[in-house]
Amino acid sequence: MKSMDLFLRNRTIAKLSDAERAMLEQAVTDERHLPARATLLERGQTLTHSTMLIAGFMIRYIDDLEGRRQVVAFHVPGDFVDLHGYPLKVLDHSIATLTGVRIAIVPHGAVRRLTDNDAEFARKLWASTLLDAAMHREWLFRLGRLDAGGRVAHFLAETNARLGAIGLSDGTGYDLPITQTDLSEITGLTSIHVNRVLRMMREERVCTFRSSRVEIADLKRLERIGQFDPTYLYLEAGVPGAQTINMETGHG
Amino acid sequence: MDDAHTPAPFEKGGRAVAEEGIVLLDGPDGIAISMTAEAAEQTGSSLLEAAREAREQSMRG
Repeated sequence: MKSMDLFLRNRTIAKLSDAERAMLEQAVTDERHLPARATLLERGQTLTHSTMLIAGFMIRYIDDLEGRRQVVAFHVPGDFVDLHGYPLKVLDHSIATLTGVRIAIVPHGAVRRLTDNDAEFARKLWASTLLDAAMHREWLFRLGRLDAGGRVAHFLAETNARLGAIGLSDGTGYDLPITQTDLSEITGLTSIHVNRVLRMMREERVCTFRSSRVEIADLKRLERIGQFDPTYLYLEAGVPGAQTINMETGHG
Repeated sequence: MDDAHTPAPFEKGGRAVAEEGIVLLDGPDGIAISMTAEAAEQTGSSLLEAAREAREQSMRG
């Protein structure tokens, strides 16, 4: 797989042409492998390049004064983990790997050259950062309005849809090699609370999360528990998990 | 703004359960927290005291 194969795949708001994808591919100066649980960038660090996640999972996070972590974004293959760092230059959060990952490096100088000469291509890169912003808004909703079951269900439904867009979920299950502690830092819950929620979902035959894999027995119910409406992901029709459900009835 | 969309006091309480020696509180609304038994007892006492005061305030109008 090439570095940019999954970038903006199956999204309605920005479709990269083959020429644009090749152009971005040529801007890659380096590919690297990083181990699991490695910090790539620290909050406050000045950036000179952007990073594309080719394989594996990464997070953006902020630690409180006592070192407790809140994950503020979860990244899947095909995501730029820090494209906003191009105009911002200094990161306001840290970035780390959850699993072993493969990443591609695109220098900011190359981003500037590509966008200075092509306003439509610049709009597409901008749109990808707006997708991040849309997800941040949804995560605010999740943490502010949903109970423990809703938070976990929302994350699992969102991840199903995002992985569906890049061919890593068929809507009935997907690999998710993260821990319950990771889930707790994503949902703002303790591990014990996450464990209870997962047990209840398993007992009620909604889904199971075991051995680094999510198996979805009842997607509509999972989405209803999480009040998950995929509109904010701007997915093409046909992507698993992209169908909006009626929250009153749970029917699509 | 429509009042129905603004935050208002909840009329239904949250639900607490014990799990692995910890108290888990779910709801009302987006509340989802874990406490030690001691912290839960302190919170429970504080809630009862505040509820008593709130009821008196309501009766005074």
